[in-house]
Amino acid sequence: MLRQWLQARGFGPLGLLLWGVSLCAWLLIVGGDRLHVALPLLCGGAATSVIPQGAFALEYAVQTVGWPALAGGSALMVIAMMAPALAGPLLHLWYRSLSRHRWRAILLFVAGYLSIWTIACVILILTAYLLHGSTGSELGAGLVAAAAGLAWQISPVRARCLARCHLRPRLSIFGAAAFADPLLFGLTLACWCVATCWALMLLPLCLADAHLPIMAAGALLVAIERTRQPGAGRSGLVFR
Amino acid sequence: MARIRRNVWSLAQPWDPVLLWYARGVQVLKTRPFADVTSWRYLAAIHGVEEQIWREFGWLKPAEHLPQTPEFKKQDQGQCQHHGWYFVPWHRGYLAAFEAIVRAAIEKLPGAPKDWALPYWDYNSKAVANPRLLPEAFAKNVWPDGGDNPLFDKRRYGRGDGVVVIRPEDVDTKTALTDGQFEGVANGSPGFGGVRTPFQHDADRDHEGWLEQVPHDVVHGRVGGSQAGQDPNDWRSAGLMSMPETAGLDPIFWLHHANIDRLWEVWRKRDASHKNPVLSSWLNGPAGRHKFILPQPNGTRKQFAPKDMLDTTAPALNYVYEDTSDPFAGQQRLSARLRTLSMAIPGAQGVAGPEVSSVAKKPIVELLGANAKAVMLSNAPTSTTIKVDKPTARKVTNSFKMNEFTARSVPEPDRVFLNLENITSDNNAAVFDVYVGLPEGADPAAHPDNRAGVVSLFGARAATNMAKPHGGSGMTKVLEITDTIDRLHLSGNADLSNLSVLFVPVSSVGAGGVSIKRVSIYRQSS
Repeated sequence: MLRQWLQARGFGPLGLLLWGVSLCAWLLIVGGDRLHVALPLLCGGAATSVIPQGAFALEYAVQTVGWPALAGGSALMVIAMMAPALAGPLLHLWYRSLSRHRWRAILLFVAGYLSIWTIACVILILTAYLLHGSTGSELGAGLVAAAAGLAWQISPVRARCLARCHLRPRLSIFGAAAFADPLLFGLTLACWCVATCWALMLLPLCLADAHLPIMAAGALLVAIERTRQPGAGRSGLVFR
Repeated sequence: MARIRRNVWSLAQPWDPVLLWYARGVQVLKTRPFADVTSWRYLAAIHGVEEQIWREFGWLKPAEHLPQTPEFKKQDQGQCQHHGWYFVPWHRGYLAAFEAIVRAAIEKLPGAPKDWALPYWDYNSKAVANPRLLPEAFAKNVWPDGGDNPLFDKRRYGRGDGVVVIRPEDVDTKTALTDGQFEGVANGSPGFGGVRTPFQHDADRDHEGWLEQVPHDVVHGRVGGSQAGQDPNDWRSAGLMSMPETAGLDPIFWLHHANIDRLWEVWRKRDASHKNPVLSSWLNGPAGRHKFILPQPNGTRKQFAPKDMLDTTAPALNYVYEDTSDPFAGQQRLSARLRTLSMAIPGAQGVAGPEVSSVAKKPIVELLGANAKAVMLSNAPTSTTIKVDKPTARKVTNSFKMNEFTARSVPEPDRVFLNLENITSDNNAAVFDVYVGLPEGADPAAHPDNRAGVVSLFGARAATNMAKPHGGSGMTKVLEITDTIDRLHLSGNADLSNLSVLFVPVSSVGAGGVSIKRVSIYRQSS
């Protein structure tokens, strides 16, 4: 009964697994990964004149948190917020790969996906620093990020980026292309994801003290948006 | 007593009273304002609507706009279900709502019958020499009441010049009716009724059932067509029936769908093992905020679910079809296949039987091979070659092993399915035949056994639109090629390392008008 109810709402075994992965990432974040523990410190520090601009901000972040924690924390943040949205792409890889290459394709995809998101997170952290530096406060940075994010969220360009997140590309199964296609899929999907969701990531980075509830709200929005079924009344044409 | 939906070919031609009253009812509906939920345009827009197309085609006057009610904008427009397991129940509800509204309109006219029911267009009828012709009441702009014939529409291009030409293979119901499973599986057999889906309007995801693919899609493409001499990739050249966004505007649409609905009854009645889904997610579906809600004759709107569509004689539906006899005399896909195999393999006689057909395990579907790059179709035949993965091919070969095959309670040997993945095109009217395993340079017409099936791209344009929610992923079509693989095995030529696939256009495809991102084959083991 519960299984049918869940499946009718799009929660298949894979969906539940991805929600579990997301939950684990959340627990690690709440338990205190170094990036998120250090966020208030970093962002508080960024408000001072000690960290005026980008390169210095990056140096400060690396010195304070360290590269592994920076990359790991970013990856955790992405997994926590994005994992439930990956059911469709993972099923695409699963069904359209040779059975003995399925896990390889998924690993290549995830590697590509996380690498782009990790780079994007570093840029977003730097952006958060710069916003702190220029506004002089966490609240000011948050307000600027929220305003920019809101404008982006309702823009038609973002809607197009979101639609691209549902693209399912061709996957070759022989030769070098069999390695390249899943990797490329991960890279390109992540680019569209970043373009769609950067604002949802930037806001918790700016409002460091309240980053957990903001992240949770953002994660919920991402999950709803990505897994929501297009319904009736959306057949209005957008001519290319 | 239930009303009888009659075969259009068993009616007097061209203007049997059933058709004449239909025309009069259509005329009444066409005079109603768009915002009226019982108007012709409102009902058609439920199937699909795009303002620019409707305006260009003259269905919206310059000063007019689509209805602005929240019901229309958020629920009613573009509600139809395609490419999934809600296709048949939703369209049954849609037809019933339409029929009730037309009947109510007719009954207000002097001398109207009280038992009018929507006729159906049986393109496989034995009553006439060529049942695939468009009935004359729809084909000519004349009718007994004078003036424009409400059943005629000039945007019915057929082969390009307005003549509708449908081949027997375009309406071959054998694949649909002889498959015992309603629900299908992704990349494998899509079943009679399609794969499990949520609410799904566009054709850019998942797999349509056999019935939706043929004859449904193909009849849409062959009737609507595109205007000769125009670019078939330009929607301005398309016929009404070619596009989901305009199909409901053509009066023949409703007779076509009545036949599709009838075929669901034929499928259900022809074998006791043919069952509709019993899952709550189908019976009470779809889950989520988008429901099936359709107008009623009194102007209200009523919600329904597939569970309300199971019995056509129930008071809410109250109709039967004139003919639901089985055109294939009880023949089943599985028993026919096993009979062929057992006759061809010495020592395996007598295998075919109900013991095997009762296998009901969840099938395993697995990729078997794919071509090297995307294929662009043109107006000339286009070929590609599928390279097959040897370890996976061995599984197919092993499924044919005699010691397994001759056991009486064994699963069926693997079925094999050709997948045309992520087809993108702006040409909704494109129709092409697909051949598998043809020798190089062979004339496809001389090898009908190698014909895998016919594909119509009804709905492709929306599935290709990058601004749509699925980013223009295109549509995927599945054709069963088990017979071809069986023949290869029986001929001793079971080397599946390279399998040729040939696409032969039936209607104008247009240069570079159709792209198939990957051509692949999947094995399905039971």
